[in-house]
Amino acid sequence: MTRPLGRARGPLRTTAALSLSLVLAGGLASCGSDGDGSSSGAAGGTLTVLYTQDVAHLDPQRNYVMFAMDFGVRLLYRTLTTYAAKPGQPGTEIVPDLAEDAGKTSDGGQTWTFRLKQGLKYEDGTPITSQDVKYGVERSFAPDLPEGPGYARTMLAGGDKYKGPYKGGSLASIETPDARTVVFHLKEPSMDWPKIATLPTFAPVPKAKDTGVNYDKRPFSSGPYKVESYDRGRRLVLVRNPHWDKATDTVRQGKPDRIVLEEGLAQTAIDQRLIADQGADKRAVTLYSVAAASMPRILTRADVKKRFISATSLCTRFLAMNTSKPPFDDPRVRQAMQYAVDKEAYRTAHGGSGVGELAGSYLPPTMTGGKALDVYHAPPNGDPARAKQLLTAAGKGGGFSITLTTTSTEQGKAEGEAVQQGLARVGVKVRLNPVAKSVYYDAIGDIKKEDELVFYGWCADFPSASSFIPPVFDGRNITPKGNTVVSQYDDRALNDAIGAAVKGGDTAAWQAVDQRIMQASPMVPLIHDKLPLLRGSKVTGAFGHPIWEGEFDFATLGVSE
Amino acid sequence: MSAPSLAEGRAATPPPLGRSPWRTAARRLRRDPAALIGLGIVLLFVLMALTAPVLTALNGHGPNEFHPEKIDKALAGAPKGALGGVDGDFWLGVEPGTGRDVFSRMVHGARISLLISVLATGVATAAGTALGLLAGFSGGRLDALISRVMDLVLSFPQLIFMIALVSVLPEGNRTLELVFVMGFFGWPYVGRIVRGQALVLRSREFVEAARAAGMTRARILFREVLPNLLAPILVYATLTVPINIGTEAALSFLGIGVRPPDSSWGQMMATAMTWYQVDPMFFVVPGVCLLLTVLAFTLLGDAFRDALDPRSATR
Repeated sequence: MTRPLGRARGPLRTTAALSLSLVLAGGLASCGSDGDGSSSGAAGGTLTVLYTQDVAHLDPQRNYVMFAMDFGVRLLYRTLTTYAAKPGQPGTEIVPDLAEDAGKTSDGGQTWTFRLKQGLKYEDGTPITSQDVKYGVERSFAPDLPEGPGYARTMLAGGDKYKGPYKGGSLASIETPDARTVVFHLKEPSMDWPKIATLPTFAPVPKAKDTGVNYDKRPFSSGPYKVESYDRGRRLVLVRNPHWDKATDTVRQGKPDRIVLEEGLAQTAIDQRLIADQGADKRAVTLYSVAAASMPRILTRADVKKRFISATSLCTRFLAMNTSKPPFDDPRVRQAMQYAVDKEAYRTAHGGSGVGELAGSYLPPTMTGGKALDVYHAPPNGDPARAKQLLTAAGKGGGFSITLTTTSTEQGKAEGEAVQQGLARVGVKVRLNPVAKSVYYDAIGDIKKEDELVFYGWCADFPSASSFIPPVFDGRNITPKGNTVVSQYDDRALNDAIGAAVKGGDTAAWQAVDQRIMQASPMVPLIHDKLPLLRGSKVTGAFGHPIWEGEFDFATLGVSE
Repeated sequence: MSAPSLAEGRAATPPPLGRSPWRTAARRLRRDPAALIGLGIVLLFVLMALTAPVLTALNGHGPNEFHPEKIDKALAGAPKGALGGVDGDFWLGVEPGTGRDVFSRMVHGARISLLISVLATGVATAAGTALGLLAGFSGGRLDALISRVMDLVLSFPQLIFMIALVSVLPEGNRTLELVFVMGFFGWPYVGRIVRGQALVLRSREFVEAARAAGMTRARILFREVLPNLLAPILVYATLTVPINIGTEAALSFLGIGVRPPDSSWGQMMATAMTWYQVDPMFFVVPGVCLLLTVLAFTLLGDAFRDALDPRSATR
């Protein structure tokens, strides 16, 4: 398994997506039909959203879980820029939101200027100002509100010393020359800033309405809906924000009159309700991935399968090899694993071809312009003969015994067995070490105790390889505990190449880095994820958005009579 | 796990003259159809477990062999074909998700399930008999101590403690660990019965006589007391096996039994849980096996009890 995709901190955050291939693949994705997000479905009605727990954070500056970010920025607050409400590759396009354009820079990315649209209002009718945007970003520096993404904190000039608006006054590197202009001064130039400005960190918060840690319960709305009531862990009710003006918003459609989020349900119960499709559940969606156990029930019934959606996200799942100890300190043994692993069996255990594309390299294809890279050209079930050859060349023809960390769930074990049987074909004996889900990342993030093999996964925060490759492959990011470079592969030349690509930032450079890491082979890429979702029969405008792990785009969801 | 209703302290009556009690019992067993059915099923499964490698060689599929061609990978690995992929080649279908042969896994599962439950019963019976005898025969402080320890072990919520214990045990042979953990929680049941019997026996005339004749304590224990305890111990052990089969299945079902890729019936049922609506056959196979074995051992145990109980002599 990989880090649950729903969690944003650290591994498996989300990123952009490739979608053409997913619409075609397996004929599972129903994105194309009613998912163009433009005209289908009239306004009105109540949309019910079903979820297992409470949404951790609604406070925009603390919201850093993919689907909750989607929920927040599409319904409750607006950001300087955002992503187009379209499935597939077009959905990774940056479009202006609060700002009139996607940001201007005159000095190669060191200074960024955004000018706000006219007529922007909060839920009480007061105007949204550039000072509120500045105040919002400043909030993300407050030690009391640490959960949000770290980009503003690490990239803005003077950010390392600033302690947030409650104790530290205001941050000089964000200027507001007038009520509609906001200027950001970065430490180092970055062309990624307009992408970063899509994060909820850049949602406006009026200082007068800020309630600190309690803002989570009642964020002040700048989007099409506002909070009517919120009983945490049970139910969140959103109603229309009468002061939201569609004329200023090219992305959000704001179709339902009410949106009710029901929390605290079992995922299998949610799936069962949506499969049954009765009463109010016809106008319901699951907030997050359906259970793997529900997949056959969904896919074997044509009427249910029509309502199934799975869109590619920018996440990749890996089988990581611990390069700090034998036998994976030898690159030839690592390369052999690229042929020995049975990716098809892994994917079947993970939920079948509906939940992922087999991966031939680390970077999800959307980050490389939709072009998938396959370095080893191993068949889906692997190539044991070739693997055996490489192992023999490395003096390991007789095989060896290693341990693989997996989660202690039925699915985690099934995935482990898929790897176990693949490697058994080349004489490699794998013992499974099942670890409880809640401590999984602590277990594999401890570089001293890490097993030879671990399952891993990563999602990027925005569609750029710079939020994907460095945290997972740059050896300088290895830490003794909570390590994200789980292969522990630390090669100076590679680290330098990654550093150069971060500065240069073009696709070709990243693809070259991807290729290079594949050759060093610290991990076997398994699949590029898709998020399996289910909707009721009267839900319109439903498609999986590539940015938020393939989650429904709440900007376009509506219900029909 | 509950102790079968063998009343504590029921003394074994001296054998009637002329015919050994074991021979009487064997004659009674032969006339009991329930006992014969139970015995037949038990023998069938034991035979199946012993010949598992031969059986899987017959159909040509090892228990851990994946058969991707037998499953629909678009459907998360649902088996192709009717009844979970039953055909001439795969007699009981294939496992969803992997395509492993259910028959091969079932017979190899029988090995593990029977081995663990029989060994655990052996451990519990041996330990229970030894400690029960010691307590009952020596009396006094030692008796009090052992009895309190038995009470203590009995008062543990067993399944929870087994889960905890198995989870914290160091890496090693999981089969042995399960045997010892199940044995540890099982011995007091035997121990209490044996102690009760020993308490009664030690004041009986033939024991008194042996003591008066100058026999050593050990000799009295092994020559005079123990033979009189064999019947209840045998009955109890036979009735414990099915309980242990169930416990092993429960532990595997809860994910702390055998390690993948090994199969056991409980492990198979745990996997089948998520599939029962799509592939009920996969649930039926280990379920029926469990049901039959537990039923057979229970029938056999009951028959033993009836046959060995002198008071049922008139029947």
